[in-house]
Amino acid sequence: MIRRIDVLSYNNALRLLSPMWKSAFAALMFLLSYTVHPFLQIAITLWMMSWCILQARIPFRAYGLLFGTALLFYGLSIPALLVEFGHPAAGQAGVFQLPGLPLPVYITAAGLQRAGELLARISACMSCFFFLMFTTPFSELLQVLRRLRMPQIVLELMLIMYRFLFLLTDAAHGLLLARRLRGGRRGYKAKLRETAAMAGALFGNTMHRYYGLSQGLLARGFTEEIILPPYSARPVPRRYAVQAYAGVAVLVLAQLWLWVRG
Amino acid sequence: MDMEYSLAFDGVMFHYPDTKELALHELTLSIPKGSKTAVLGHNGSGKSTLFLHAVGILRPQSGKVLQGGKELSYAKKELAALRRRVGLVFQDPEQQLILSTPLEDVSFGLRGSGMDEPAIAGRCREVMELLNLAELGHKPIHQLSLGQKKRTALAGVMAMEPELILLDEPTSYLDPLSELQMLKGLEAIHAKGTTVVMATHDMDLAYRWADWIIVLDHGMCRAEGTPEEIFAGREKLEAIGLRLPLLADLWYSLPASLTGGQSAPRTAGEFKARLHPLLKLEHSYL
Repeated sequence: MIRRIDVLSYNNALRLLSPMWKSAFAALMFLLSYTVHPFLQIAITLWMMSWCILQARIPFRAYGLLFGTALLFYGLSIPALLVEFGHPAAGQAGVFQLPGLPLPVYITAAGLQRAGELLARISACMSCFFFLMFTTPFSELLQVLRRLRMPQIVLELMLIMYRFLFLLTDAAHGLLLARRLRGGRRGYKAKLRETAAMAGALFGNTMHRYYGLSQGLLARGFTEEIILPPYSARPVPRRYAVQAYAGVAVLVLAQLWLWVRG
Repeated sequence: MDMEYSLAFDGVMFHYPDTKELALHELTLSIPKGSKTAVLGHNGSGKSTLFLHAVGILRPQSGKVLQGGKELSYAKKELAALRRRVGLVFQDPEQQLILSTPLEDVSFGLRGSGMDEPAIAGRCREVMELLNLAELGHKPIHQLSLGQKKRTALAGVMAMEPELILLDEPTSYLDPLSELQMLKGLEAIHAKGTTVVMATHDMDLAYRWADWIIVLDHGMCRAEGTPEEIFAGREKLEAIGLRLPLLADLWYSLPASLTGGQSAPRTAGEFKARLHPLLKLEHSYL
C-alpha cells in the first residue's frame, strides 16, 4: 500500500499544484474538521474525497482501501465506546441490553451518539490527511517542512526513513518470495520458527543496507548535513483557488449559522 | 612506459576487523592518468576494498595510497576535497542514492559543494541528458529499474566532474541496452579527460573497453599492463581463476601460421578485418 500511495502521489492530476498551497489547504480543513458540527464534518469528508477522487483522479479502490483500513482502528475501539457494564443510570435507558447475564451489558443512546460524532470527526480529519498524502510527493512535503523551519536533523531522519522503507519492503518481499518458492514449512510451530528466522534475516539485511548507505554518503562527500533542494513556488490555477476558498467560506458560514441557531 | 599516474598504491596492507585474512596484501599498483582501466579479479580479490581505500573510506594499516602524486591525508577537510576529485560508483546503486528523485540525487553533491542553483540545474541537465535520464528526473528513485538506478548513481558522480571515477562492476545485472547506455556515458566522461577505472568480472568487456588492465588476486596485484600484454598468456590468467576473452581465445586457437603471432584483436570488426587478408577469402564468406 505504501508503494501504491507513493506512485499515486507522483502521478495524480493535482501533482503540479503548489505543495505549500496544498499543505495550507489541508491544514485549514483539518482545523475546521476539529471545530465544526458533525454534519459539516461529514460534508468535509465528502468534499475532500471529491478533491482526491474527482480532481486528483486517485482510483476510488485505492482511496477506499486506505480509508477502510484506517477505519478498522476505529472499529476496534467501538466496543470500548459503546458497551457499558452494570445498570443504566436513572433516566439513561439502555438502547440494547443483553438479557440473562448476572452483570447487565447495555448500549446507551449517548454512547451511540459519541461513537457517531467520533466517526464523523475521524473521517473528516483523515480525509484532509489523505488529500495531502495522495496529491503531494514526499520530496515536496520535505521542502514544505523545510520552509516551515523544521529542524534539519528531523528532515534528514525523515528522508532516510523514507528511503529505507522501500529498501526494507523490497528485502521483505524478496525473503517472502524465496520462502514461498521453496515451499515453506507446514505446521504452526514451523511457520513461527520460519517467521522468526525471516525477521532475523531482515534485521541483518537492514544493518547491511545501513552500512552500505553510510559508505555511500561518505563517498559522495557528505560531511555534516544533507542539503535538500530549495522550495520552488508554483502558481495555483484560479479554478482550484476559487473552489477551495468558496468551499471554506461556505463551511465557515454554515458553522456560524448553526451556532446562531443554537 | 613513462606516464603520469592518477592513483597509486604502494605496499598497502589491510584486513577487516572481523577477519584474519588480508584483504589487501602489500598491494602495489598504478593507474595511468587519463586511462580507461579495468580491474579484474575473482570475488574477494580485493577490488571493492581497493576502491574504498581510493576515496579514503578505508585507511591502509601499512603502506600508502597516492592520488595525483600526493599521499592521501585523512584530515576531514582533505577527505572532503579528495571525494570531490575522486568519485566512486558502488556496485549496488541503492548504496549511494540518497534523495527521493534522480534530479534531486544528482544535485546532492553539487549542492553540498556550495554551487549556486542555476549552475546546479545546468550541470544536472547536461549529465542527465548524456545518460538518457532527462525524462526520469522527477520519478521516485524506488520506481526506477536497476539500469536506471545505476545510471542515476553514475550521473551523481559525473555531475561532480571528478578527475578520477571508480566504478564497481557497473554493468553487472544490466541488460544489453542498459549496458550500452552505461558504456556510452563512460566514453563521454573519458573524452573529457577523466580517468575511468572499472572493476569487472566481464573479461570480454574489459578486453574491448580498457586500455590498461590490473589483475588482482588475494589482495595482491598479479599483473598490470595493456590488454594485449595481459591477455597474451592463457596460463597465468587461468591460474588465478580468470579466463581469456572470447575473441582472444578464438584468436589464439587459430594456427600460428594464420595469426602470424600477432596479439589478438579487441573487437569483432578488428578480428574480421585481420582475418580477411590472412585467409584471402571473399568478403561475403566471413
